[in-house]
Amino acid sequence: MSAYLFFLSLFFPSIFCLTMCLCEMFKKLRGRRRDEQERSVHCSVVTKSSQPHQDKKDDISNVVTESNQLLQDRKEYEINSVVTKSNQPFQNGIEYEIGSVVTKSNQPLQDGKEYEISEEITPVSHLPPTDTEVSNVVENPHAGGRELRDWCDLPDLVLFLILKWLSLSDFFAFSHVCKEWRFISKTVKREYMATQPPLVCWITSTYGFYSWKEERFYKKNQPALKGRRILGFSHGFLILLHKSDKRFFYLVNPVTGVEVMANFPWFPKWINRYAHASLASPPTSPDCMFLLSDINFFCVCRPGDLKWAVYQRKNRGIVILSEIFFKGKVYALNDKGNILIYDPSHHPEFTILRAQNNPFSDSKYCTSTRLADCGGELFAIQCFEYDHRRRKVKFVVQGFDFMTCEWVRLNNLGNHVLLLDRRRGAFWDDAANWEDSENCIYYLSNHLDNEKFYVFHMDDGSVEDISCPIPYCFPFCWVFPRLCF
Amino acid sequence: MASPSHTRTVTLKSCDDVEFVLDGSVATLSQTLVSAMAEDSSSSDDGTFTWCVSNITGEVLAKVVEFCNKHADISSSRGEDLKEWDKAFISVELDLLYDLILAADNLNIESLLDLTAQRVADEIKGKMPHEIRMLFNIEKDFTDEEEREIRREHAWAYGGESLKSFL
Repeated sequence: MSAYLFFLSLFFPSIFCLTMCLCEMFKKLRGRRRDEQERSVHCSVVTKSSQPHQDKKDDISNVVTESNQLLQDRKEYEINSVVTKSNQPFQNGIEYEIGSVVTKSNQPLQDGKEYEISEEITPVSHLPPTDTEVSNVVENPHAGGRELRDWCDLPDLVLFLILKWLSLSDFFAFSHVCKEWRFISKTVKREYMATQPPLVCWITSTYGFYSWKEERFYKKNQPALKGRRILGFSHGFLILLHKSDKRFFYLVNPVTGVEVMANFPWFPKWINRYAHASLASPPTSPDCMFLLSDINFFCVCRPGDLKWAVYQRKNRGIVILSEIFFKGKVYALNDKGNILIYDPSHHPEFTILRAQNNPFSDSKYCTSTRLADCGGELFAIQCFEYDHRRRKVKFVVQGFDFMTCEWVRLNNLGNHVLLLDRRRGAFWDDAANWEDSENCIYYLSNHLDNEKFYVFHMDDGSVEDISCPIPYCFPFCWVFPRLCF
Repeated sequence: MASPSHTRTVTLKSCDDVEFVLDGSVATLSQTLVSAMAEDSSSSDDGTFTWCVSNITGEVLAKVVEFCNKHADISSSRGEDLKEWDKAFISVELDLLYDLILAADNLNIESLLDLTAQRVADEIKGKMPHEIRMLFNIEKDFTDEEEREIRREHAWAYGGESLKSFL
């Protein structure tokens, strides 16, 4: 209104003075009201908690009004005539009459404290309630109703304990319920993800994960990833091959979709369908190296290198069976049981660790031999398939003892599991994350022209199949939630 | 040296003045009672200890006491039996469940906290956020920015249920 008058006064100077006066009046009025509101916030006196006064109406006479929470949000709840209905303390449903003012409080009375500042009480009832004040009174869901319980406001400890029981999709649903729950789930995300078993990831026309613990898919909308081929999962990144030019590599976080430009040199030839790739360390690390394993060769490079260091698998009568990054270098196993250690900066030289024994000479039914880094120890896993139609499959796991340079056969993985992929990858995981399974090996195999996942139990050599409808012959990889979220 | 808690009985008093008498060994399930008794042990030696729980009603406290009595007697009941018993015990309405959670938190009874949390998790499992909100009568209070963030997570957390759409 003052603005309107001000506008008029431009045309009628005589009104100008009047306008200014009015403006001053408005300001004063507003100021006074603000003062009163401030005062009334401090004035409160509240009563006591339930117990002492459970049934003594007299104890709460002459007293007013603001509950703790109301004070916190600096709102007043206040109606002329009369009654208190508070939540917890008065569970018996008795109403307490307190003179002319009312308390409507919820939690605050619980603490059993007295807030007595009676001298300063300003009866606030003469203030005309503003719209917001009125609506606050109406909307306060807790006023007077003990049947409403605030599940959002559960103690943090309880929310932590609830999360412990939830699967990945339920974890997300939980975090999408309300602010408080979201905050808790974000706080413990890392710890939670560390307890989650790996997912199976592959790219077809769509992209996503399969969780067989939950027997469900997580589909992810990443059009840019369509058609790219997965070469592996390493240090939280999917290693992908370009759709059309199969000499280009990409590193993508499988969950956030964040792509890291991998500054690796072009690979001079097209890469085999089942080639496998891994990283020595995260791509941001200065020690990052890239290892690409194909059927007839494997090769290594560092970001920024101009060319790859290529090693042939068959060289002077020696065959390299498997190779991995181990302790920042490339460790390769040959068919004599020896370990060759490569450093790409000294290509093509290598140092050799001669093993005292060679458990890898019998290769008649051996379909694959893989090395795995099992928590700082070097394992070799051999797969023997005598007749896979009848599931006559056997896995033999050897650990390398660096002190004695000996391969030692392991009959027990303890409370761990090994995860093999279709190509050359083998991962080691803590079975605390797996329900009812430890000391076993997960692998993929053809059975009656159907590809299926199987579990090989180390203790009794038994094999069982598990449901995972993976598309036939598509490269897939194991993705560990703890490395991606 | 015998712990003071074993030599005493504990009287629990609810906010509506209902009293429950517990054996000292039963009361040790509650960390709150254990520390309260430890503080108190020097002053009174008459073998009783009274503790008022300000915000727990008699109805809820009765359940808590029932739980503690059963679990303190753990030697006589085998693990499987106890699991069955727990399952029956926690099959309560959500309002009572909420009160039990607050009581377990207030009295700091670990096993009851675990059990109640598991029950809440069972209620949440397999539900969409809006269904959870409806169940627990929770209001959505996200900012616009949080909404956007959630929508991004939403796409892959709930999409692609069926194999057909995936392949």
